Amino acid sequence: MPDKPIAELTLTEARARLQELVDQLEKDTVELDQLPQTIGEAKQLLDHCEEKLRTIGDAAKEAGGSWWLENK
Amino acid sequence: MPEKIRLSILTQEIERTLHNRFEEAQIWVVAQITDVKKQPALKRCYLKFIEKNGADTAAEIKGVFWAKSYAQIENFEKLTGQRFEDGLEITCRILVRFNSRWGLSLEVQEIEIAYTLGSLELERQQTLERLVRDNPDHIRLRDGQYYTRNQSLRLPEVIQRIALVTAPNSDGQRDFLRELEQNRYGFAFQVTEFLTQIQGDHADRMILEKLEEIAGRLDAFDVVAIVRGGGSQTDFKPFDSYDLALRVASFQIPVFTGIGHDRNTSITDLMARQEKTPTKVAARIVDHNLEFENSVIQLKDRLFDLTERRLRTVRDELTGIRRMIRAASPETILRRGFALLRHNGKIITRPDALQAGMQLHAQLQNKEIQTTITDIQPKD
Repeated sequence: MPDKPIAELTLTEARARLQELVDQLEKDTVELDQLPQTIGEAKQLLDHCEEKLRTIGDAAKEAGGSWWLENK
Repeated sequence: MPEKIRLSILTQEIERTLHNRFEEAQIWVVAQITDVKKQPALKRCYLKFIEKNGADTAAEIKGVFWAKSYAQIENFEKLTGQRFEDGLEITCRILVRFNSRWGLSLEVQEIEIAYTLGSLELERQQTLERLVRDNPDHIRLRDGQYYTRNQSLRLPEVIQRIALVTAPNSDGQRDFLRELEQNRYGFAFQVTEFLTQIQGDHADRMILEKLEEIAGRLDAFDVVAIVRGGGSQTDFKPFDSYDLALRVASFQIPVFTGIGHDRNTSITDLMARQEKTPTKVAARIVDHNLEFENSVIQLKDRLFDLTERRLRTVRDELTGIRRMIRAASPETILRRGFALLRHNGKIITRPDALQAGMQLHAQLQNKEIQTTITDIQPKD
C-alpha cells in the first residue's frame, strides 16, 4: 500500500502506484491470498484518478482562479 | 528695387517648371506614409510621404489617392493582410503635381505589393535571426525548425490549472473557455485569466507584463495559454516582437499559443507550443488529459488480465494435482484390475513376507476373496 491514503495521492502518484502493482503481478511476487486486496486497491486508484480528473479541489479553488470548469 | 511679381505668377512659374521637368513621368518612390486619411465613400485618400534621417525628417510631401487609384489601397490590404496606415513603408508609382493653391503633391497611381510583403518578411526574418544569434541557451534553429527551452519543458502529467492571457470579451477568450467547459470527457479545469490588450501599439509590452505577473506565481499554474481570434496581419504584429518572443521562449512553465487562424504563424508561435486557434489549444489540453486517463485504464486492464491469468494458472495446477491424487488412489488401482492383498488386516507391501499356508484377504474392484497361499514361485 502507498505511504499516504489513496485519496491524498496526486494523479502521478496514483498512476505510479498502479504501475507498481502491475510490476508485482508480472514478477509473480503477489501471494495468492493477497490478490483480492491488490484488485481492490487498483479499483480505488482508478476511481481516485477519474474523480481527480473531473473535480477541482477546494484547496485549488481557494488558491484562486477566474473559472472553475467542472462538467459533471 | 527688386522686381516684384504677384504670387499667382510665381506659382504659375513653379507649376510650369515642374510640369516641364516631370510631365507625366512615372516615378517609383520609396517612402514612409503618415497622416493617412481615408475617405472610402468618396474613394479618396490623403496622406503624407516622409523620409526619416534618424530622428529628423529629411523630406515630406503630401500625397493623394484619387478615385481611379483608390482600389490600390483595398488591394494592398487584401493581399498583404496589412492595414494601409501610418508608419508603413511603401513603394509606389506617382505623378508629381503642383497646384497654385494646394501646392506640391504626389498623385499615387500604383502601390508595389511585393516590396511591402518583402519588407515585412525581412523584418520578421531579422528578428528571428537576432533571437537565435543572441540567445543560444533558449533558442536554436535546426533544419529550418525552431527549438526553444520552453518547448523542451515537460508537460505536467495532467493539465488542470491554466493561466490564460487574452483580450477581455474576445472571440479567442470565449472559444477557448467553451472548448474546455464542454469537453465530452467531463474533465475539470481551473482557468485564471490575465486579460489585456493584445493588438495595437504597445500590446507586446502589455502581454509581457501579464507574463511577468504569471511568473510571480508559477506554482499556481500548470501551463500558460496565450490566445486570440482572427484579424489582419497588422493585428498580429505584437506577436512578432523580439522581447515577447524571447520571454515566451525562456518562460519557466510550458506556453501554448493559439493566435489567429490557420494561416497565421507569428514569431511568438514559433517559440511556444503552437496550435492554430484558441479552440485547438483547448482541445489539445483536453487530449493531453485523456492520454493520461487512458494510460491509467490500460494499467488497470493489464492488472486485471494478470490477476485472471494467475488465478487460471492456479486453477489448472489444482486440477492437475487432483488428477494425480486420483490416479494414485487405491480405487483407481483396483479399477485397473489389480488387487490389494491383506494378511491379518494389513496390506502386504513386501512379497518376501508371504508364506505357503497364509490366509489372505484379496480386495478386487467389486469383490473380496478369502484365499490361502498354496505355493509361491519366483517370477523370472
